Amino acid sequence: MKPTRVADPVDCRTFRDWVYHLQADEIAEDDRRRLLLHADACRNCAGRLEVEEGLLRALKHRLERAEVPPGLEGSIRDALAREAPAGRRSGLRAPGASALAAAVLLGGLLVPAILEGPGRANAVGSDALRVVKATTIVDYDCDTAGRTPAEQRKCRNARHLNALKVGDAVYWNVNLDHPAARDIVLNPDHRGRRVVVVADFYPDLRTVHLISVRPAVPDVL
Amino acid sequence: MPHLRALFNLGLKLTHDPKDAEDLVQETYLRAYRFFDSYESGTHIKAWLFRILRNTFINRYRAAKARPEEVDFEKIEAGYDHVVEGAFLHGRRPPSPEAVVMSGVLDAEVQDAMAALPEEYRTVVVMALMEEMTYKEIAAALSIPLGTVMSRLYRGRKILQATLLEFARRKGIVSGPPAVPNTGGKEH
Repeated sequence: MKPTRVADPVDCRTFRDWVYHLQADEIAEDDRRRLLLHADACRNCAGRLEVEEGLLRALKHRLERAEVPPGLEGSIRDALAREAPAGRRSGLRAPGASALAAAVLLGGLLVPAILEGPGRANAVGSDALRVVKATTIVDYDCDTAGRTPAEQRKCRNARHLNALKVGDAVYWNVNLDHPAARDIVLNPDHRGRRVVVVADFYPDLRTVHLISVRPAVPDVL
Repeated sequence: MPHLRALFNLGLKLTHDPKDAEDLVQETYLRAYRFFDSYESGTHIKAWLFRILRNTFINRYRAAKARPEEVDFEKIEAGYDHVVEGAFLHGRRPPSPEAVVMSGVLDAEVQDAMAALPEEYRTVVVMALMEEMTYKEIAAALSIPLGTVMSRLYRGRKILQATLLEFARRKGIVSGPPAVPNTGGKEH
């Protein structure tokens, strides 16, 4: 709710006091209309509005955002990866909580998992492994609680996120940077569906950066 | 990584040092991870991360300060209004202030003015003008009332714009007394 405290009638002092909030579109519609009506009738306040608009544009231009230094994101990911086991022991007791934390902070799911099974793996850089793997999309919390895929699809708990199940009690995270990832992670209707993913897998984070996803059987995804 | 650039920029504006800003941002993500239980699902994640970053900054860098920074805002506002009203209003139309300040003002002038702002104002200015967060989001991020957001933004913006006008005045483009007094924006 935007504040509605602009004095009535509007005089030049009132206009001066509220002009920044008018520019920020942070006042109620009725107040906005009254301030602009005053400016229409007052040459000085119309001039002030023009001046303030120009100065605001100039100020924003001069306050351009700096670029993130190269390496910072990697440092943070490394630090979080080191933190993950400790987090599971203490503050973030449950793997699901760790997963949700990483999902929000990194854009991926972080769940306990190891790289195993029949998927092919090739080294990609020092951190990631290129994998091609048939997996099942599951609601991590429901799946670990033993619920069936049908039950998982009915679950509407907003804190429950989907993961890729690659084996018994083995789950992979999904980084949200791929266009399909958000749908995979958030859509309850996909739970229980088999998909083949091509991805870069980060063992420390148990996270996959998707490259492509295709149904394991026709018309699945 | 979501919000990394926004966090780095706020860190940079608070610490004035890229390396310190990097450390601050990394610490912010670690704290966010450790205390993720305190995040309310569905609320503004950027606002929550900003709150962690600012609290971390205060704990790290402000402990040694004896007292809060102060500015003589009334003096700055009076000078600002005098220049605005005298130079641009009452029917006179010199080149637009935008053209004036865009034509020659040094980035350093604005950055120095930003650095001289009290931290409370600077944080709100970054959130509002650089990150374009709403007053409500800023209030949530800083755990302060909406009215305090408005007041800090009003003052912070006026101090910064006074710097731009003062630059124009020194260049002889506008007339009048200094828009920024000698103590403007600095601790005293």
